[in-house]
Amino acid sequence: MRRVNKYLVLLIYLGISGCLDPFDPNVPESDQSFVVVDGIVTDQPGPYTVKISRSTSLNGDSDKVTGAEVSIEVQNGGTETLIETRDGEYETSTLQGEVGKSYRLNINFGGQTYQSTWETIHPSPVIDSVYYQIRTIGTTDVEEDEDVVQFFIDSRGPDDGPRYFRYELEEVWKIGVFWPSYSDYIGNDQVVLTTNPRHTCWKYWEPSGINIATTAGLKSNVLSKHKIAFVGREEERFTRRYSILVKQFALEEKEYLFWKNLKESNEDLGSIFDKQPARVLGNLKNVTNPDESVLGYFSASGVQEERTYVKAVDVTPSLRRRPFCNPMDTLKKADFDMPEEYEETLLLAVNSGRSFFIGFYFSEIGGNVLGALLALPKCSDCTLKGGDVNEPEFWEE
Amino acid sequence: MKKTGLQLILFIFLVANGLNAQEKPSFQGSYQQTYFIDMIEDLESRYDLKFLFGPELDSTIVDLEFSDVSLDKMVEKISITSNINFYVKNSTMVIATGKYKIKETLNPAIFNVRQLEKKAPSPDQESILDNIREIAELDRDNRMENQLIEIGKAINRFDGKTAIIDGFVKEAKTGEPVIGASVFKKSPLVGVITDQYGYFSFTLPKGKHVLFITSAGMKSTKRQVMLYSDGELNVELKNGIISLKEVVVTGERNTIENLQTGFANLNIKNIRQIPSVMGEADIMKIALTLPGVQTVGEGAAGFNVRGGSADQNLVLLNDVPVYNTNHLFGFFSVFNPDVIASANLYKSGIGANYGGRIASVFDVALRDGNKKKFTYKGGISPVTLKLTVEGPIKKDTSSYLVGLRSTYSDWILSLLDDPDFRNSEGGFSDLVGKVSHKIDDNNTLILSAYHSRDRFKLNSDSLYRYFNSNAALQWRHTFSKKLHAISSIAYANYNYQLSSDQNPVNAFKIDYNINHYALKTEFNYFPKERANVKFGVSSTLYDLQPGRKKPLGDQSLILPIDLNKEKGLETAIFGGYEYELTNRFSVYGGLRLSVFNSLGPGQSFSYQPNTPKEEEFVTDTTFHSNNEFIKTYVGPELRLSGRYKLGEDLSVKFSYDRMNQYIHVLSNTTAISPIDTWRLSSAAIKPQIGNQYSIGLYKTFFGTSMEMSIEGYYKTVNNVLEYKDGADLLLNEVLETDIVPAKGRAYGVEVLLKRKSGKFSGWLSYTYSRSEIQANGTFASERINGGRFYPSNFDKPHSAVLVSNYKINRRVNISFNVTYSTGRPATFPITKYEFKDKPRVLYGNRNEFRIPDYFRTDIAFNFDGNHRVHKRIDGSWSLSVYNLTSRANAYSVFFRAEGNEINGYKLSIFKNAIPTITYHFKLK
Repeated sequence: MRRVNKYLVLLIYLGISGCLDPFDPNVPESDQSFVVVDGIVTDQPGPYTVKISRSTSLNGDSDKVTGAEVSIEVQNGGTETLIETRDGEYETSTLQGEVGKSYRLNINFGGQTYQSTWETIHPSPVIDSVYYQIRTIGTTDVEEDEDVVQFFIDSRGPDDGPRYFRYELEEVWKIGVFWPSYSDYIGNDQVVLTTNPRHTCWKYWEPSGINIATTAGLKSNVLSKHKIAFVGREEERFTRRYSILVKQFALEEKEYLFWKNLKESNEDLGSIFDKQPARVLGNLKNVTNPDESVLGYFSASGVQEERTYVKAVDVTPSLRRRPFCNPMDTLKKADFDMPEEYEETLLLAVNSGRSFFIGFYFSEIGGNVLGALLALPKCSDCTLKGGDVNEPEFWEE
Repeated sequence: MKKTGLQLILFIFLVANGLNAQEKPSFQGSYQQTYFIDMIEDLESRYDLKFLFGPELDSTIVDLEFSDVSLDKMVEKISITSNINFYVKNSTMVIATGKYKIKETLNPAIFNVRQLEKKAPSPDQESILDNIREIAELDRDNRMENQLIEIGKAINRFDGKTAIIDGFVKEAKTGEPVIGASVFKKSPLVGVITDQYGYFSFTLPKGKHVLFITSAGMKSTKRQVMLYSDGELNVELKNGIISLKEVVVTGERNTIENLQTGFANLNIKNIRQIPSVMGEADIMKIALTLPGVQTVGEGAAGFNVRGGSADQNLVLLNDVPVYNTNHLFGFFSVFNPDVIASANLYKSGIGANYGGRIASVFDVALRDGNKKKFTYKGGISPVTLKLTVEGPIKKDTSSYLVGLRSTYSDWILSLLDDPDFRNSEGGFSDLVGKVSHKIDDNNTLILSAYHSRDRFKLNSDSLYRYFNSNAALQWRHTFSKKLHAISSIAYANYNYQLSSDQNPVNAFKIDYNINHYALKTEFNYFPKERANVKFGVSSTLYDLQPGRKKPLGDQSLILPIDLNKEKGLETAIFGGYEYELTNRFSVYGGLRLSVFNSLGPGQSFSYQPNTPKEEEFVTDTTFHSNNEFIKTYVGPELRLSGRYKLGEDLSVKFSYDRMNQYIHVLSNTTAISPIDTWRLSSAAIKPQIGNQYSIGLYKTFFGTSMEMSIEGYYKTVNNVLEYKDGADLLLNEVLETDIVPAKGRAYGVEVLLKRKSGKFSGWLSYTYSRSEIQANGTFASERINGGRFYPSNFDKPHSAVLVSNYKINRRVNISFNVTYSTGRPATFPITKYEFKDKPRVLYGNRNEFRIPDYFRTDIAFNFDGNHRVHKRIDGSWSLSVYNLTSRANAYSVFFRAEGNEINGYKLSIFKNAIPTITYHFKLK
């Protein structure tokens, strides 16, 4: 629980153990279900996706709306109908968002017509830089501090340009394994270069927090040292090479307020001065039945992107520390009565995937192979840690 | 020590008197397993005898029988069964002397007092001397009680049938006025309560009367007076030495007699018997144990009376409002217990002399400095250091009192390893001063001042600071016995600053400031017996800066924001008449006419017809010049009370109150937050108007030692401020666009059972109450929960409190408290949806659900130092455990989208039991 309520920090010193416990409030099942729209048009190349679903009970699974008629209308410029490519997901085919143009979403299904307000694409200001600082924070254990990497963004736009921003982040990082296996055992003390390398993977994560910023209230449209991500060593992020992509969306004030309320009522609660949680509705309405609330937002935004890499050597040892893995198994020929038994056991172990071949075990004097060094999959297979062995296209070493 | 010698001589004289034995009556009685006190009551009722003894004897069990014995013989028997020595004086007084026997042949040491002093007496001798002094003092008291005091001039005794008797009740040792003491005569019962100067005045038929003078925490006394004409009677009440029978809460006069419903007097004397968090005795936290007074959460700022918000309480310190009553987020109140005399809480039956807030009046009075000699006292607790200094400027005429309290938390924080703590700071300090000067018998001047500072900075982030200042000069003038007046000029200021300088480009400072200037004159007139008229006029000018944002430093790009000043003038003319129609029936009728002028400069907005008040519908902005009347509200307020006595121990009362409130705290957080602001009513924000009907039944048992009351009320409030979803109230220029006009209603029943004296004292209360709000405006954005009534943030239907104190002996007592209440309402999500591939929730109707119930037990052990008179420093210890059962009471319940799921959490402020040791000292 890193997001410790800052007011509580002071109270703790007073001997007050302000604390959070999981709580199940037993909210009765609601029979209310609302239409949820998640759509965007940007100035980046399409296709653009509009997702339509229905809200569910607090423990329910998402409920996609299929077979809807979805179209995006361009102000003074025609309409494009979207095609349902997956359940509840509708895609454009030729539409290209342009700065300065306005768009509107129209949806028809179940005899109801839903419509967004007109949304205009404003250009996103240029990102000056994305950078980081390493900070030491206290943990609940008084004896142990923890290092974290705090990323910041600086951007600058024309003073009469958009002053409200939202950020989306994509983290990608390379991970390794404690006992990498580079070769496959093919029998008779012979190896070949592995055909199925599992020693290097890339992991992906999109932080879920809503991140917004504004330069409204400043003399010039300069965003300085805005905090965008606060990353710890979880999941070996900094053991090899880490990368973060920042997408900056330019918003209008009303969309900014939508995100602000959504953030306040979904993420920021839990301080001793909580606001009354808000019922957050977006820019869509049911034209057929105006009393029905529609959730979500259809936005039109200019986007700018910036990617930054962090090398393992640039962070502190505690950040790049790898989790330890148990020592290898040693399979010795001498432990078997028959050489075939050794051979069979070893092949079974490496072919079944229960063990990874790391290397041979040689006699100290003659260089004879006395056995094989094996490692458990969890020590040699990075896909087991949720990684993907394919290097991303954009990856730079 | 000179005085001691004098007392001893007095004693010798008395003892000599005691030797003249009178004719001996014969005594009889039979007591099986009877409490000592019951036996004494019986004996005193049957014989012309007076027993003097300390409370520790009250519940001693006696078992004896005697018939036709002499007084000495009887006393001897009592002495054997109770294991206590007695001294018989004048054949009418029996004085408990504990383990010491007073011999009628005097101890030769007594005649050599000087010699004894030089020799530094052994502890045993000291105790004997203490005891002798006590007895001498008792005797003097007794003489005061029995002698006939002539009041007025005998020559005037035939001019009219009635006369006014007035005077001051003072604390004997310090000369401080005793506030809220009852001065009354019995059958028929006529009496008054002393005001904040210890002054009383009332009309009686001429002739002989026995007047009783009682006050919480004081030894009761009586005076026999012969009233010839208007005259003065000054009474000194004793504190502590003999009787430690102190109670914390009393209904001033007894609850049967007084006219008010919904009233409680909180006495600071033994407040530390109530366990508190971290040893800070706090009068506002004590108020929370009373029925009808609640809080939104553990340690939350302020309190809620009968379902009202915290800003609907008029909190006065020496008659001046305190705008922020909290230290450290609300964990402590701004009232330093060492300088407070008492606090009166009026939940209903509020006199016309009070106004401006609709839920209650919490009137805190500073005590006077010691008029006789210089003393100081202090205390140390885990949070604060306290020091109070007081003494006479001119003996018996003028005195001063200065109290200082400060935290030493920064120092502790700096010692901690955790960088989050090291970079945090937080603390508060407050300074109170009072000077009172008696110019002559008819004129008294009182100057009081208060200043507090609070600051906290959390983990190098924003720094918050706020300051309360207030000062008042009061002039009390007596025109005649029948008429006196109190005039005051007062100033109050509250301001806060919020600054952040972490990032020089965005460094800013926000400040808020309110100035309050007030003039008030109040007359107190006694036209005839059993009648009292209070009337007067008051005027308050509010001048506030609702918010200003400024860049901090050269690099800062922050654009300044400067909200328009708000100015308002609140004027009230009031009058109230209290009259006792018959012995059984008393009534009070009051009228307050309050007028509020919203003054320029300022701006107001016009909106398109038939549109909600939203910025996009603003058609016109009107600018107002300085001191222009932008809007005037006139609010007649009727106040009625009545009491009917069904018997000597049973009465029924009713009251009706109407109140207007022109200044409001804007807050859409559940608990008052440090950045909430007071804002004035204006053209767009109407005054809140409250109406309350209250009825109660009051009964005493076992004399007056047990009290029970049942009160019911129904309250409506117009123009309650509710807020739109996501409203941002800080630096908000067009407030009305974020406010939803609403109305409120509250009703409930409060039951209180109280034992005021004896070894075991305390109270048990149960409250059933509801508090609801309805926002049913014309436009969809002005309707909340479909326009239906819904629970307010302060709706806690069931609440029960037990406060108890058990005295093991004079020096040790144990307090045990239990608090229960229904969890407060909360808004929970009703549905979940995916948006941008993350789960989000939609909240349901406002306050439709509740957080878990609240339950807490506390215990405290209090050890007093011994009560020897000559001990220079009187120390006492208090060991308390707050939240004994370690229950993690929910402060709030909330939901967060984390990763791919929605998680529910319960936030508790305290999860563990919190033990605290506090030390108090007092220089005598």
